[in-house]
Amino acid sequence: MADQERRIKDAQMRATINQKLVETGERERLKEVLRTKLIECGWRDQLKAHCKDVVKQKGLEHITVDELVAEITPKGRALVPDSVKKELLQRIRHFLAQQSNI
Amino acid sequence: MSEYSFDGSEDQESEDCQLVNYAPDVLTELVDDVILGLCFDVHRSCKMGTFFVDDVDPAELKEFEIVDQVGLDIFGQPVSSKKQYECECPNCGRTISANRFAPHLEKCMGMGRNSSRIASKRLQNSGKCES
Repeated sequence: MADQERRIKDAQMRATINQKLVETGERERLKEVLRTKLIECGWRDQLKAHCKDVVKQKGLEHITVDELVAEITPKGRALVPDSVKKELLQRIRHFLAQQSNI
Repeated sequence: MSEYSFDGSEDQESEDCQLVNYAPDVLTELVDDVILGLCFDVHRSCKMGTFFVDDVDPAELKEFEIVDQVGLDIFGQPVSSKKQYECECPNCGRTISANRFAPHLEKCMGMGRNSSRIASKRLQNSGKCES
């Protein structure tokens, strides 16, 4: 029971955090920073090359967005450089620390 | 269940820290968003036929390589231009060398600085009237 309560509270927290992020515009800012850094460090090109392999394998005609997402996401998450992760986490934690009324 | 964990934050019970612990989840969502953006991009270029456009074929590359030899231009053709271009004058119908075409057209059509068109026009008109 306690576990379920915790999970519900967890979901509520995430929803509230997301709401705050969107309302303040911080989510867009963070996303822009993330996108820029990932392009600069070559992550996007790496991942795009991986996409080429996936598309060649599955066939250009029948490739769907869902298939791409399923194939690409694990590799995409793994390829994010530590420096980028660190900086984004720092910014996010800074934002969260400022939210006193959640 | 977050992908990213940061070592170094102590496990305290205070409200403040608990909020900050959600940072990795936020990051995962943001990264997933960026990945989704890339997938949309790739998918669209696949369906529009532009996905493999920038793939370079090494054989093709060799075929159109820039030529850098003495006596040849960059396409590999010998430098001495043997071709003399000719054009047909739209006014008199004669075949004129391209080098002399502009001055010829000046005289022929009676325009331009050195063609004295007034005189030639007068000649034309006098030729018609006086007979």
